Amino acid sequence: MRQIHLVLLITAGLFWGIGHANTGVALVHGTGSQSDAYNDYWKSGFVESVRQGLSNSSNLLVVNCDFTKYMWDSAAAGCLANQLHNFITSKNIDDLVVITHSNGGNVMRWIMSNPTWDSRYPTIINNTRWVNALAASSLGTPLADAVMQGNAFEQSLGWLLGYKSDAVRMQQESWMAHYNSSWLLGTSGRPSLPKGFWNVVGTDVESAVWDPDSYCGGYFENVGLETTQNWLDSCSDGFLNCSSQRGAGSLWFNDTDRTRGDEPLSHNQSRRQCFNLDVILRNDL
Amino acid sequence: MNHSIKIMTTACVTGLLSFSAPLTFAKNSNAQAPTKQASEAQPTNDNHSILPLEQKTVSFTQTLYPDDPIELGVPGATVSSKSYYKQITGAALKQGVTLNTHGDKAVVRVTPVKTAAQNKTVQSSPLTVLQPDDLELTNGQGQFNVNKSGMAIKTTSQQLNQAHPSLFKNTSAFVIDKAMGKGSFQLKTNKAVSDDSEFLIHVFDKHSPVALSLSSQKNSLDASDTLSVAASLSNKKALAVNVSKAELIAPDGRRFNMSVSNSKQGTVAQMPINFDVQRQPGELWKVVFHTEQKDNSNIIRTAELALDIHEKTAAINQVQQHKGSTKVTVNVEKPGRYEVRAWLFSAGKQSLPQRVEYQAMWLEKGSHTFSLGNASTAKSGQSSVVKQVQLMDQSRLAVLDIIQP
Repeated sequence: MRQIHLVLLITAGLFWGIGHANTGVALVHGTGSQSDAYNDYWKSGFVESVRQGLSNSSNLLVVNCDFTKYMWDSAAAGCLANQLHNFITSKNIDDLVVITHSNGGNVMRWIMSNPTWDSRYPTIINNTRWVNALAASSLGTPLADAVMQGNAFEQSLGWLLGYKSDAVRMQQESWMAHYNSSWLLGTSGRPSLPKGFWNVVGTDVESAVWDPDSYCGGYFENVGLETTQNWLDSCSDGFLNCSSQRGAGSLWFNDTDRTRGDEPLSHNQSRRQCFNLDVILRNDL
Repeated sequence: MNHSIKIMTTACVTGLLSFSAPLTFAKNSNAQAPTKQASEAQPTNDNHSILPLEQKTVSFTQTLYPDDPIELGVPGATVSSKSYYKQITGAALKQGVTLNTHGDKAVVRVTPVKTAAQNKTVQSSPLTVLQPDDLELTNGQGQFNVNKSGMAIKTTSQQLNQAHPSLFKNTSAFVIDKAMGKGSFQLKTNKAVSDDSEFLIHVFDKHSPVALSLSSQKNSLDASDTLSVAASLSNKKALAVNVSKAELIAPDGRRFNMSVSNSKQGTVAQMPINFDVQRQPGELWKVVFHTEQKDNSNIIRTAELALDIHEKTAAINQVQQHKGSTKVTVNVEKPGRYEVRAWLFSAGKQSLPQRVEYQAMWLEKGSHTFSLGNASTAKSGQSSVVKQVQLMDQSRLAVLDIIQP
């Protein structure tokens, strides 16, 4: 289906007399505060592989923001909007492909769902081709519920424990249900997002010690993710149910339908150079 | 309509001044910048819990797809749970605590929590993390060391922390082995934990068919509402009230007991909203409903429903539609940045989604009018009707009004 879209876009571009879109790509990380997402969140191999899909290799932005905050926070959506807006305007990008991972999809969806929130948002929306959402936490995760439930101390004291952030709190399923029905677009019953939001869904975790594929993205991380699948549906990537990953926008593909060797992508692997994911993303630019 | 058509139409979103142009792609369109007007409004002194948003007026038009299955009206909220939790002391855990499960292979998680006393000290003693090796589980089948027995999954705190550093810092978990079945278990530790230490035991009865469901007809409330949450167990209309408890917990930790009663409609937890509803923007309140049914099943469940309870800072007074534009008059009580969204459908018998008009601006106390749409929409020839208007307080992140004129 996406090939059809691309053909339509190219054809329409020619029809309108504009054949030279200035394509750019922005990589938007997930929960956490990043100052060097290039090395710490994505890893250079992944980023450089994606970059090869650009005709102008300098049109690549690796976003660094504080996504421990709520998605609407100036350190989250405000920071993301600032970096995207600067990127678009300084490089005259008019065909932006945004690649998000996990909660980064929610922050991007905040911008696309609330166009009047900030005067920079319309420029970003209008110059975005689409969003490729890797393992988006659109409906939240039961794991966030698990760690927040029973938090007798609530915000004032519970935060002292050091492992609960606003972003984790926000990604409780019941909280995301509220934001989806009131503030965000693209979920069931809501208007579509103004630009495409294409989901790549991680369906399983493999952590067999004898399987080299289990080591991509880190073996021990995958062992932990396989364990946390016990809180999740049978279709999950160790952090998110497939239903959450498909909860907003449209399905691009389930991991095993397109990856090398039909390998599933755990939540850690869907941001790494695993099983040809980087090439699939590169070829989409 | 297939998705390839949708992509074509989604790309036609433009700024207010260009939205009447033929459908095209954003990157190819001559979209002009959305309407922006520098506001002369100054920040209000009443800055409690207000987001530092800009004061420019911003308008936007989004084209909808005729086949979008859009649901209008006030959204409700629902949640269901197959889990429960209990907070216990180290003394109780050394003696053994009872865990009830209704299905096989329940997931049990043990997490140390800081006590109130520990929170008061600047340098508190480290938390005692229990590993699966420290735990024993007993039932009619015998006694099992969690780590050495045939538990299907044993996870140390280190493994969980590696998978999700932001989530499971000190927790460990196991899945009750299928051979042990379900029912009543005793969980105890042989580790020398201090008597006054505290632990959270979380039981996820994943394979039980019974869930506790909570629902509210509105997901966003203010002081004019009564909070009312229906509770039910799967296939069971009314719960035993004497073993059920409901609490409303504010984002800042304040707790309010709710009355739980049974009626013809089932079990309902209620309370009037007669308390201070100030909260940080966007933070949600939660209704925590816990029940321990004392019947053959001994079902224990805890469910948490997130709701927004906010201050009513403004209200829609009037909606007028005239020649392609929509005027919405609002009464503002507290200064802030407000947005109005108008949902327009095609006129006629088969009324289909057409577009959403957005406008946001900074407003001081008083009566103000939003003008949505412009001459382009008037000339577009598309006759439309306003099906829904929504007023949002962006400064405080609250959905204030949803009306269908």
